[in-house]
Amino acid sequence: MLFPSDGVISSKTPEFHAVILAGYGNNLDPLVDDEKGVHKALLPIGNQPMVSYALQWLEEARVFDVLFITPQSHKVAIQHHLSSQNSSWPSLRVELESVDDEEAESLGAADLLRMFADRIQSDAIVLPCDFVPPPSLPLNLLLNAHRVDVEDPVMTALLVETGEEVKDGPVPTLMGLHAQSNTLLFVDDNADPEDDVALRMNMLWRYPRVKMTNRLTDSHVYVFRRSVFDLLQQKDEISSVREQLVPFLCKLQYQPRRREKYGPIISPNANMQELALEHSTTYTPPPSQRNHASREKPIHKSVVSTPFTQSGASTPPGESVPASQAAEEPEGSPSDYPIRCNVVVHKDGYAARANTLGTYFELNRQCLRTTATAPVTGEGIDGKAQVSPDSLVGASTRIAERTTVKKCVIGKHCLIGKNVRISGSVLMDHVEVQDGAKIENCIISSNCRIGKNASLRDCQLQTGWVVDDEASHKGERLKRFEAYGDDD
Amino acid sequence: MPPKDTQKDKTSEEEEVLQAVVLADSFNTRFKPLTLNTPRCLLPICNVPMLLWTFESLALAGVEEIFVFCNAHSDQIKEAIQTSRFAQPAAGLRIVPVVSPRTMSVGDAMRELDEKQLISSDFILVAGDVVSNLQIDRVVREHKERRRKNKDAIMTMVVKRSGAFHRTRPVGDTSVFVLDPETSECVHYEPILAEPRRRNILLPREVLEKHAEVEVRNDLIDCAIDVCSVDVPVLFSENFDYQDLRRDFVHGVLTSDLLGKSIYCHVVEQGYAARVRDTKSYAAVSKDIISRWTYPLVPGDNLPGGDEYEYRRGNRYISKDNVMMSRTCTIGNDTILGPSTRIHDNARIENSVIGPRCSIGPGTIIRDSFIWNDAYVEGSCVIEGCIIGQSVHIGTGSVVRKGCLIGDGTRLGPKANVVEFKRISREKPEDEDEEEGDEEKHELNGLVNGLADTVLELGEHAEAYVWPDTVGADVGADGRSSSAARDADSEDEETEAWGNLKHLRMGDEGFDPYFSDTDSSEEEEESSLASPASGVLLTPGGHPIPDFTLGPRSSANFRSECISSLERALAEGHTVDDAAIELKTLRMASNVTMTEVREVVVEFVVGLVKGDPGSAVQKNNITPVVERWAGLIINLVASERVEVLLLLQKTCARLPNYLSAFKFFLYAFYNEDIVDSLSIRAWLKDPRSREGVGKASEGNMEVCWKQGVQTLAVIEADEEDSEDEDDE
Repeated sequence: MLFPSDGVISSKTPEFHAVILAGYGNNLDPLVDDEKGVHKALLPIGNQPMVSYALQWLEEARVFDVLFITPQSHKVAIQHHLSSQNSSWPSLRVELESVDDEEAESLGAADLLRMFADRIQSDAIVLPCDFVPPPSLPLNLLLNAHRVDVEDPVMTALLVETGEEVKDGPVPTLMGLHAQSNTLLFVDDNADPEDDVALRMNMLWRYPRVKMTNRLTDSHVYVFRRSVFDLLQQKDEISSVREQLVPFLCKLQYQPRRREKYGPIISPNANMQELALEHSTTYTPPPSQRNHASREKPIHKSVVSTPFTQSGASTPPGESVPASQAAEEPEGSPSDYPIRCNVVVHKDGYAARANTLGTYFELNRQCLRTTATAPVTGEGIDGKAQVSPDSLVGASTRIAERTTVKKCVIGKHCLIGKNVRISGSVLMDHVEVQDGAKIENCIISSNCRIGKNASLRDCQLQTGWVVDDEASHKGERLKRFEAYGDDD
Repeated sequence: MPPKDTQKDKTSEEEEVLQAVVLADSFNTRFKPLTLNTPRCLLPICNVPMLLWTFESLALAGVEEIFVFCNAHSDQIKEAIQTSRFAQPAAGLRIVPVVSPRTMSVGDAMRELDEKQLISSDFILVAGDVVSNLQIDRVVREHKERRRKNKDAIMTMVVKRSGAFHRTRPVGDTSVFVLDPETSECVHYEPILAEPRRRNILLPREVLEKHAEVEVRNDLIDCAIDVCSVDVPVLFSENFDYQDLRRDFVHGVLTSDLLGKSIYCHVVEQGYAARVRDTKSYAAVSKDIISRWTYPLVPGDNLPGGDEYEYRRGNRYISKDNVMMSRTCTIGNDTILGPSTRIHDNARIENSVIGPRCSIGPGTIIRDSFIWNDAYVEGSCVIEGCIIGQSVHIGTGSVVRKGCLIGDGTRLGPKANVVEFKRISREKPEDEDEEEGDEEKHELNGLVNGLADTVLELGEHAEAYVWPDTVGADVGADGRSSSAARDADSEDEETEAWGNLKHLRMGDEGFDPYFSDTDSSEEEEESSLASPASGVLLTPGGHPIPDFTLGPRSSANFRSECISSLERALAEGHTVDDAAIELKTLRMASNVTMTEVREVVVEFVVGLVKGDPGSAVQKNNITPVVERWAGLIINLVASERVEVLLLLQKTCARLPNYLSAFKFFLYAFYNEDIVDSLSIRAWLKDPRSREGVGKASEGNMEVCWKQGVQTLAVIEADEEDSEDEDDE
């Protein structure tokens, strides 16, 4: 093993430090209601606050150090949640940090990372609080991809293949990948549909085969090398991770000048191997003709599997002079700092961020698909009520007779009257549904009250909303009038 | 489609004869002077004319009828076809030469093909200089299959996977294909040249909307083998401006919304196919053949020409026919020695191809070179990395450096010293004028200064002319008359421009598109003031090629001409439109920027106003003058109003006579709708309006600016008034 000369690897430094970023969830309107203390991170998905999925994911991968960054106004509620529920994650060391609300509005994710950079001593996993991974995607899959890569990627991003279109779901961005080496090359940062997509020739010479795809969505889960935080300190105009930092890192891969400039920051120990060899007693310095091109490090050639290694079958083994020159020229040329943006593409299993109503709803549905199999019974459920097995019902919820519940997530302490029909809906805690109501494809926030014989279809209700008796709503967002100003 | 039809299709397909069209002409001059007396397709590669390699590949694909389009030296091509074994009845091939002296491009050939109605069904279109061992019939089958489902799939291009820097994929003339990985439809095509260097390629968004996933591939060799449907020649006829098959036709079809046709690619993973595009790829393809990538078409096995070779260890091929080798000569790896060749004592040959009936003198060293038939090289010569034509005689002790092309029948030496990348022929270059002819005489006698440190020397008994470096880019293609060729080539100036061509020469290795990236605009995010890359190109030898820009002389010329034309317009009372057209012509002719024109015009208009500074006469004169010329100024200014205000400001600041009149000018400009209040405000905010042009006038600029503020206030007050009126 080679250790950096200056630092000692202490057993206390963890391999990875997780950073969870929690935001306001502006796209989840009207479900979030900061005034009433309903925060995005704590919205339930499958009757669990969504942040618990991320925490659990980390714990399963034995990543114990978590830095949780929230806006100031959310801090108390989240603190409360974490301490009350702490028994569920006894091994996690969660540090809760908050940012001033006014600042939080204007700061991008990269700004937050820069702010707390000194808290992170190792490679970082940056993830949003709203990411819900499917069981088929353990975090270790991503971490291993980051660990095992010989080129020591500067970043490993998790991309998710978008399957069937989810209504209101995320718009896929155009991305360029080098599929053979799982390298992220291009992220479309220009959303103007009029403009043509400009691809750098530099990129095409370095990576001659680029797959451009519309099928992938960025999950916003990244593993960054520690040195990326140093880069952030240096380039303080980078504010967003997805829109600025990731494209910037991608460009470093194929823009030699930029790499020369920022390479030393990103990989300060790039020539570690050479250093070690120089200390070796059996090492003979390279012949002098090599010296004229200090950029060409023959040692690195073995480490860096460049895409120039002529994959075409047509390079003859016994190379004649011009051919060998042609082949060697590019091979020797990647400069000192091999930089690579690794990607892991996740294909099967629904993985998404619950940051829009569409994905929030879909994730709840996915929870039903994976968890519930046995018929749901409970103390509060009347024998004559029908609750389909693919539903989730929280503790202390009472369902009265002749009520049918199909494909629903129903929270704790709900009161559901007689003859109610609920299908394909999400009911959070403390919802009261009176007799004869019909609810279809709705999201009903906590403490709502649905009146007698009311009928709701494709609606989203804000916390504490009261639907009158006999009322009928279809495809509406029901929220307090004064809240309209905040709309997005 | 009803099943009955399919049945019919199948039967007719079985009867169909597979046809191929060979374009014997290459429509460029990259091999000059070697192609002065021989058509390009008959140049030997590994001692076999290229055309025969192409025929062999086609015969392999089961083609039964071949049309050969020839233009230059058609009689030679005809003869070559007749004497080849493919013309014999047993070969099962029908080869029809089509002589079409009018064709100047691929487009012309295709239009002629359409006119003559030679083609009955899908056909293979190849260049006459392709070496391949692919089974093209598979591609044809695939193409027909696809076409049965989709009538609009009109063409399948054969491309071969390699690396971005493969030796048969010269960086000066290559292309990026964007393919749909599922259907291998080509959705976008972009030609890539070494010069001018491209920083970006643009991928239209519509393409990405139609295809969820595309692959951008910069690792494909264009084999110049296409399977075309009968629609292709028709399309060429319909679009008479299409010249090049790739840059015009493919690009045109892919970008056209109206045609609705699609083009597919067949990506070859195994097998070999390459086109000899230039001397660099000539060398590359030769090496590929020697290293047996084209198996079974290799010397010693199934060489198309029929010569017998003995295959020895280290890829040495010695003809079985009467080769005389001295005991002391050294034959290195990767070498071919043609029939009846004599190698004398202590000669050393490596990595080279020696044609039939050559003689290599004692002690001569030949490396990485191609020597064609009947060449006579005397003793103690050094020949490296060049192509030596037929019947060339090189005298004792000569040195020929890399990249040289020595034309047929040339005599050099003794003791000639030919520096790198020279082209030498026995005939006088066509474009040379008398002056250079005189120079030639000097050369014959001895010396001429080539590059500063090396001296080009042709030797005492030389019969040779040295070609200037850039000629050939626009001299006639393959021996056609130069003027005609120019017309045809004007379309693809860029590919045949010297800057690009120099990267296509054999032996040139000074270009690496990735790491020669010198443009500073990469740092665009860091500094907005990215300066364009310098205009000086470096030749491989490191000598800058002088940049021909129009000097300040022309700009001064323009100024005086412009003013005189404006004066004439004033005197003769031309309309402003006429004056504008005249100015435009002038601008084009002297290649100056729009800003310069504006400068002159504004100055002129200001100068028209007579009267003492600050006097009422001057003030009263302004309005009619501006009124008269407003049309012209508006015409020139277009949307850049701030620009014109800056100019006006500068002019007034420079000419003390008009300093105080600035505000009246401004007001007049405003009244004539040359500028509006918005642009005045923008001008006032513009930092340039407050900085001085020169030190003396700095104060004047300031004065003008202040006047501007006042005027703006007046104008805005006016506007408010009128708006108020409107409201009421």
